[in-house]
Amino acid sequence: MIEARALSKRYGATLAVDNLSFTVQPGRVTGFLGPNGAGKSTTMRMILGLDRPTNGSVLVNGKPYASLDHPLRQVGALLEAKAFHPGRKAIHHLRWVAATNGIPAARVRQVLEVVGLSAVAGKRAGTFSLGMSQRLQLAAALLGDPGVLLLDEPVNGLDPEGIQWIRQFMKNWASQGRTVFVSSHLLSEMAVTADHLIIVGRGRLIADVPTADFISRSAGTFVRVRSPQIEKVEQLLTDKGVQSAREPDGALAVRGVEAPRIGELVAENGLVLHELSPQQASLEEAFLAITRGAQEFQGGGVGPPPGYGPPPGYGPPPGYQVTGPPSGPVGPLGPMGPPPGYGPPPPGYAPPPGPGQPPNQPPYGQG
Amino acid sequence: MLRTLRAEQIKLTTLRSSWWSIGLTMAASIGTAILIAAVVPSDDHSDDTVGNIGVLFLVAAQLALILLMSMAVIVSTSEYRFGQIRMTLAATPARWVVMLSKAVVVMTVSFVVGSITAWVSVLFGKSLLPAGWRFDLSDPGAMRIVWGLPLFFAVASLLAMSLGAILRNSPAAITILAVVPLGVEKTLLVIEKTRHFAQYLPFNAGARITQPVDEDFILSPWGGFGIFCVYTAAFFLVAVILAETRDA
Repeated sequence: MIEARALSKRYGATLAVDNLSFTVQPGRVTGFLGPNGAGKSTTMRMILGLDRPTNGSVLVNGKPYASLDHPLRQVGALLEAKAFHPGRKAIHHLRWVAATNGIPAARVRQVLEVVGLSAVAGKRAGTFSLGMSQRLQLAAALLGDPGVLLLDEPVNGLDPEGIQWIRQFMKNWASQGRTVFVSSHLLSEMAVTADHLIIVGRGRLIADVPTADFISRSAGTFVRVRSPQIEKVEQLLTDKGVQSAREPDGALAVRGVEAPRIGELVAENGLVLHELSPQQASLEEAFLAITRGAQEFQGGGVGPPPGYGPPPGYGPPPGYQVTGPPSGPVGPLGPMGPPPGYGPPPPGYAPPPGPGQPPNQPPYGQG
Repeated sequence: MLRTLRAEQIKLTTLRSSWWSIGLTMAASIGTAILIAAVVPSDDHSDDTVGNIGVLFLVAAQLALILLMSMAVIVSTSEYRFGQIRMTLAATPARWVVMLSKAVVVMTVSFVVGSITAWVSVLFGKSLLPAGWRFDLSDPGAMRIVWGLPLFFAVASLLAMSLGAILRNSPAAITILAVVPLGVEKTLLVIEKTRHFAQYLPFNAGARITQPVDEDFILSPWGGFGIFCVYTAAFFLVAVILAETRDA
């Protein structure tokens, strides 16, 4: 369990982490998602007590990291940089790490076996490929058999096999009731690895949400509708309180409603359809749109400009907003509100004041 | 503390560069001591044992020391150069414990290296020096100078380690430690105008422990060494404070 409370870190004029509050629960893989420079590594370093927060605090298993007794037996960390001396043999690296926390030398052989480095234990760590280096660092993280695992961009530079391996590893780890906190700038990676997402942009919390919900609410799903009577279809949907947007070629992008419901609705009104196709827009685009939004907030201080917003087809869908309402009413076509777990924004994360409103569309059911 | 100490010992002894530094320090010190003992003229003899040992230690205490200090610098700087400091501090969040452990390990290793160097040099010197050169280890002050070399090595290494931790950069720290003792301090000692004040500079003062009592010097061997210890303690203190306050 990791609890960050109003965590901030300032480097000179840059606010790398800005009033970040979140809790990482055990028993699931929690993804720490954000573009490069969003403050993920800084936050990770503050969790480990390597960097001192400018404000706020972060607790691991209820204590500041520095006051943990034998920290490696509680927290294992794989940091982005190679945290070992290239001139030292892999086994010697693990031996000194083990020695610091009174971990028996026999455990060194064990973790080498776990990460599959037994055969190269006597080689200098500097000769290792990136994938092997990551495994060595993971071995060091596992030495104390910790309940909490922190991984900073663990799949960076790994080959597909290594990526698969580390994904599986994290899932197994979490399924044992342990805590896994893994950072990444790749939403597609987190989508298949993490059960829960903590999303940051420019050091601020953007969302704390189950992965499945994030994906279904993000640009992920919309339905493309083409019709010779597209205006009528559009009007029909609007009347029902369904949100839709025109694509450049005149097609209609409908979100929040499944294709069969649209088909039925259109048929009931005797309209003709030429296309009715569920679309899977790029997760990365959605992610970019969302984090870009956070950056606008940062820079402007008065919210995004009117022209802000992703093009039709992707972008944050209604109900998924940086400062959106905590829950939405049930729309005419089914429950549309945020799912459980997607609660109100954390304390301290208030919408910016002023005329610039966040790009909220009215919630479903208000039409 | 003991666990961190053990870890620091493993770190030091599992790097080849440490062994190279130690080996070169001893080879240079002992080699030159033997060379000096073998080539000194027999008619230009001295009847002062302490002075004669001091002659054997000349290179060890000035030149070879730099090699040993570079090892001590690397103990600190390699942590930062390779990001290993993150692992170190994640494992031992109390940074002063890490610093103290490094200090103990570096000083112990340097003391042992100095002891071996001193005794091997003395034993070779005893058998190689021409008959006229007095060499009786029971003379007053003889033990002081023999053990003075390892003491000087140990404290100088701590100073080097501290400087490395402050600068976090090997080339900078090693350059300073090569230029200051040999270049700056020795030069100022030779120049008549600065000679008085130069005796209080760290390495000039510290090296007194490896030299005979000399009327030309203001500082006694122990007095000079004491001043060197004060300088070193100050550097170490700054290094610990910086380690505690800076981000890793």
